[in-house]
Amino acid sequence: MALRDDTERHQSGRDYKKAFGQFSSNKTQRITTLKPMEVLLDAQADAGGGVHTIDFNKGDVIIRQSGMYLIIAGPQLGKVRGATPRWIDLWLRVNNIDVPNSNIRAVLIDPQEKTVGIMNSVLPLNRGDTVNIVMAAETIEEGMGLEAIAPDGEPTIPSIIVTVVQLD
Amino acid sequence: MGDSTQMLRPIWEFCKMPTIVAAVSFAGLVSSAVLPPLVSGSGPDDPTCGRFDYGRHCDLSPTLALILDLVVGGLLALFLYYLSKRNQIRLDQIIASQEALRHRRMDYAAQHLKQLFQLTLFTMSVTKRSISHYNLTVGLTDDEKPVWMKAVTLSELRRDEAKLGRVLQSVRNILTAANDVLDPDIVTRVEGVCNYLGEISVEQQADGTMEFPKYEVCRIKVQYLIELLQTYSRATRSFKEVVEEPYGNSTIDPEPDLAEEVKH
Repeated sequence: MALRDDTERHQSGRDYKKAFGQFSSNKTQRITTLKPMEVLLDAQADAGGGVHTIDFNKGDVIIRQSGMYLIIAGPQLGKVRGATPRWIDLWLRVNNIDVPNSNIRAVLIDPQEKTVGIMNSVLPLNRGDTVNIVMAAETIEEGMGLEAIAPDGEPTIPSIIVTVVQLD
Repeated sequence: MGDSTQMLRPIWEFCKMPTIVAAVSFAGLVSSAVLPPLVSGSGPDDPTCGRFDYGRHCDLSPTLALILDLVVGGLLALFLYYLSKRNQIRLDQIIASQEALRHRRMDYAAQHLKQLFQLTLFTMSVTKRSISHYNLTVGLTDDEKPVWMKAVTLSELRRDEAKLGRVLQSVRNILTAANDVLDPDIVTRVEGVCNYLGEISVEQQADGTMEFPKYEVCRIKVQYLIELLQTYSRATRSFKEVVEEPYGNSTIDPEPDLAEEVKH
């Protein structure tokens, strides 16, 4: 533990004064309840040789350094069955409180249709704050949710990619 | 223009004090009703009267009138200065006592918040222990009185949960009482942790066992906050931001057993 006013230097020689993190999930996550569901994350990119300045635990992204943060999330949306247009919403939640004006909505019609939503938000976050991505859908009958796709001869497409960058 | 308004403001403040208004009125009454007959005399002016003669047969010379006016003005100024000085001393005492009270409230709030969050951490761990006690009773056979044990451990669990709720309520009460002395950033952070913990409750799983959801995250959030509260200094009456080594290992182990479910 160290105080903020000193300058850290990583073994690689780079200075990291600002927190950053990239998270993803290789798991398909379907909506099974009409209540809002937290999106789970299961991988964190080892950027900068294993430097982790932001933690995560399942769906919780845990901030370790207070500041202003840019959060970008790209969920891969899809559904299993049904041809009726159905909406699916995603938004951010900080410390279990929904963040206003962070919602996005996608309408899915065809099960073959794959859509990538874009969520972005700038938030002041404090050390220990948790950020979650939450989703809700119109119905649970059609297997709507986030889909991880493993195409032949290509890297797996994660069901969601989340980037968190400290701005100040 | 602005400066003259600023200068006139203290005079206006004095004008609002009844004691000063009464004193000035009294002085004006004395100087206007008593002094002119005395200094102007009641008889014809005597040619032998000098510049500074003062009597019934002499008119007041302009020099003596000026001196008398200066004396009255000086006395009035001294009187007003005395009143303003006395009021200023009282105001300084009030400000100093309010500042001391504010410092005491801030010290109390910082100290008490730290203790309450330490208690929160303790209560969370006790609740987790009660959960593991309860979960031990799930697979018991009838001979081992599982219903009785479940009832006992469940009541312990509910008691611990209620205690956690009371502690969080105390934290919120302190925030309400001391939000005018605490840094808004600290208030936001404490509120954030309270909001998070307030939404967490022990959940029963499909197999009948209980689980404290996101226990690790809750623990880390509370620990971060305790670290921050521990940096409170009575000398500066401020908190110091603490940052962990960014290159250390994460204190949280992400779930390694999340099976990959990929779709072609």
